[in-house]
Amino acid sequence: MSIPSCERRLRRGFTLIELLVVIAIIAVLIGLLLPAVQKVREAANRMTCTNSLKQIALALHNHHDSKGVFPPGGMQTGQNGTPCYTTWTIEILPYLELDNLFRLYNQSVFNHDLVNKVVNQTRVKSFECPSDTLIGQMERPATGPQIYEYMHGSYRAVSGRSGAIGRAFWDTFEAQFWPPSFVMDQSWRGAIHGTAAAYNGIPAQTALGQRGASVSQMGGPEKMANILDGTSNTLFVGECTFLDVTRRATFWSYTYASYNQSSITTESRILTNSYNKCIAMPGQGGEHPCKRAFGSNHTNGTNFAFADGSVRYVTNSIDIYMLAGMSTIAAGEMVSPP
Amino acid sequence: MRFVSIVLWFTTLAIIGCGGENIVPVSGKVTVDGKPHKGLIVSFQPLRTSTNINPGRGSAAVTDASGAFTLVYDGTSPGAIVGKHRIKIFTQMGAEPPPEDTKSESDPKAFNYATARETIPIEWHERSEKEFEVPAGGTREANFTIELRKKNKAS
Repeated sequence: MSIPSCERRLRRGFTLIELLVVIAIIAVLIGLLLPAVQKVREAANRMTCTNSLKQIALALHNHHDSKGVFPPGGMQTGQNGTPCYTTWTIEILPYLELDNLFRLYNQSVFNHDLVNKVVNQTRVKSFECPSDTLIGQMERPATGPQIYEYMHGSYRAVSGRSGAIGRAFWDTFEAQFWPPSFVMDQSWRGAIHGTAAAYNGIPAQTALGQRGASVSQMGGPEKMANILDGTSNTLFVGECTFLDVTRRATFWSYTYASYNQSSITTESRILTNSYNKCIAMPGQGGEHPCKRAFGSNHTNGTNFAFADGSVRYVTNSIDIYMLAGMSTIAAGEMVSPP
Repeated sequence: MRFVSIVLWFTTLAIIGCGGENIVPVSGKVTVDGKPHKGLIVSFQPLRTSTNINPGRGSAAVTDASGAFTLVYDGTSPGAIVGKHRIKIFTQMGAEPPPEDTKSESDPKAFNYATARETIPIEWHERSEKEFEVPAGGTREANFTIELRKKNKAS
């Protein structure tokens, strides 16, 4: 009697179909779960990112409270290509509880001086977005007077609107590209842009660039009162990173040109995390607006801090003229953020 | 065979059904003072509506010898988003050296940006208020006529 029953038990088991069905169900469940985990991870990263931007915006406001002005985007000494002094990220270090790091920086020498190497190679958490693949890495920026590697960062100030014949930008002095009179269009300046006025013991700059235009046209750092368009409608700081051409991405402390200041050109190609994709598209000024892009590795959008201290997510499909209107402090556009 | 056809169906559905953006083919012609102009960049940027501030990405193209262009959406697929766009038209100045200059220069990068001038009037790019409505079915008639400022003054 016991033998047949044993035989019966042995015969019981899974058919191939049953096994496959079970495997398929498990596969589907894992497939459902994995993207969800990834999404939660990315959502958390985005929140950290938003928080850092908020910290930066508050630090900028605290700088304004104690000095009466926002920090200079970057202190220019002349025509694009000349060395620069300090930059906005370094100036707000004391307001990010990094006074020790700030004291290591020598204001009276150029940004790329060997004396400032330690600061330029230091990681600052508040300038890093966890979704950015470049954080914690050092590289030689693609252009400028750099003589050593700089530490990557994730955020760039919004220096204004750009695009006059595609090559006029508020981060650097190239007034010969502002038609028709080769005078910089003051209505297109942003809250934090390149300056030439005296600041922190460095004298005002008066060097002449091409076509006899003076660097002093860039003016000084902006005051809250100069933001006539309203602080809630004006962009302050946004994210910028590149997956492909990383030496063109953000370097938090590198003053030269656009490595920590971008601007809005009225072409949606500048909202991207792919430098090569941007330059492959026809547009004003070719690759130059792409060097001043805004983008992130978040899904289809970028975080921006506004001058009132709020942080909002701007999608890559936003009306670019709306964003351009928000990039200026006193152009008189009637635009409100999303 | 059945498996293949099912896969094909799903891919077609995925492409057609899930493509939320409404991109239609747009082509046209640019004439400057009545003549076709080669190498002009034509840039379309969709504008917001009262209900939607995220109308989509822009399209751009470069005109050929006959002044004709076919827009490419966001550097990927041919066409442009349906709806109202703001138009910019300008020379490739600052983007690429014009062909005439490259002949005389051994290094194309030696092109002198500082002395180059934009020949298209500023109301066609920097201060552009020109708008164009891309119809739901696309169009081949996105034609633009540019009059140079000098001529206007003379007349």
